[in-house]
Amino acid sequence: MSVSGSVIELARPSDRPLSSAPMPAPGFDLTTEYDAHSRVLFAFAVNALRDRGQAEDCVQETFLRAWRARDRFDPERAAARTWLFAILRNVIVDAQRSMQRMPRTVAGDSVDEPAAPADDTLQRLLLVEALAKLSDDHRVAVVAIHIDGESYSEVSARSGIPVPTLRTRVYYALRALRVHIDSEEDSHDRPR
Amino acid sequence: MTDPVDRRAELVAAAASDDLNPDEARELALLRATDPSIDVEIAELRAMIGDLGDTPWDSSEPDAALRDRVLAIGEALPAPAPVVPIARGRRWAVGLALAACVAGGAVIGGGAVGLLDGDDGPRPGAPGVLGALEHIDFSGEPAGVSIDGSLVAHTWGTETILEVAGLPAGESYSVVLVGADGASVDSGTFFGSTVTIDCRMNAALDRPEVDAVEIRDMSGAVVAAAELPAVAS
Repeated sequence: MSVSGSVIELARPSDRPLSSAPMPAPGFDLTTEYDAHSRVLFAFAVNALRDRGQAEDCVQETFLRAWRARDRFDPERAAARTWLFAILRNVIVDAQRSMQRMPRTVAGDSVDEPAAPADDTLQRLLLVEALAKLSDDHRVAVVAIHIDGESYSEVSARSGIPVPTLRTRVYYALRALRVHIDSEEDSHDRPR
Repeated sequence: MTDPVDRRAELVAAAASDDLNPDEARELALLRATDPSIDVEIAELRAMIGDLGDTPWDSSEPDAALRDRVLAIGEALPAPAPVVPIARGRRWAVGLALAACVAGGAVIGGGAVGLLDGDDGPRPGAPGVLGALEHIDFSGEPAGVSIDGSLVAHTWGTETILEVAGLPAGESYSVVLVGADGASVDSGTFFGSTVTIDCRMNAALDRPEVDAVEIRDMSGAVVAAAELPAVAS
């Protein structure tokens, strides 16, 4: 079975010593970054907001803010994906606050599940973000088993993936979710 | 042959979801005898599984049209203005601005909003220069509304100076500074009025960190926004 490769992309601290030297030239290409990250960013937004239209607006707003600030993007400090997720998290929080102040309407393109509760917590947002950041293989396995409620044998019969492989993917996915949430909570707790 | 590490992962994952068959349960019991961390790990995974239960997952993809909308951003927005170095040490401006806030008096919510108290304010200068007046251009305001805005970079943050006319009297609006990381920092709130409003507000966000200034209504919708040129920190 194969469990190699990255389960989740975690924020990595800067390994660059503090310096007064000018920042390196920014490298943020809109087309490249959209094609590389839009799918996972949308997954984060649509599952946090439970509304396709609003999720797409948030993703667009994220790239707009990133584009405006592109000369400040330093790929040595954080990967573009980590930076985009940080921007999107703030955009989603703003959107949720706006939703809580407005009468709720049901748009034609709303997903079937109920809208996120008004008291949505940072914990849930972190969990959704962590799920979005999982590799496709790991996310599919953990969603099928622990969100959709299928058994390992059912998923194996449907997908052709052996049960031991599914179990191992779920194990590493759950571990990665825990590590992501703990690291983000630590970063919020640290004095800035 | 299965890697022992993977086999351990398999058994722990299966135990966490009660999916072990009798042979696997015996195998796990033997492992437990030499690795007491297994029980802790199973408990941690079960807690994580419990959290997932309330998180239905939508695996749909964004519409293709979103790509066109995003890529149009690069064509619609011009290149950022040149970086302007900040001159440090003009502390006289700090005292003047603080005095204006205190003299203004009216405070709504967390931000200070005060009437301008004369023309002894800061003088025009390059964006980001401490104490200098930086004119900003708002766009998107409704017909009949005029907004004249400026910023002053301070050591404690960024001051926003507004002259607003035409917003409905009695409606409340907030002034928000949007940072490069997407975070919003409230600068203050004001009411629309039948007369022209002059006000100053402050936010604890350094000018180099501010990407845009937004005026929002009480629903959070953006009434008008000003995009700012980048300045060096």
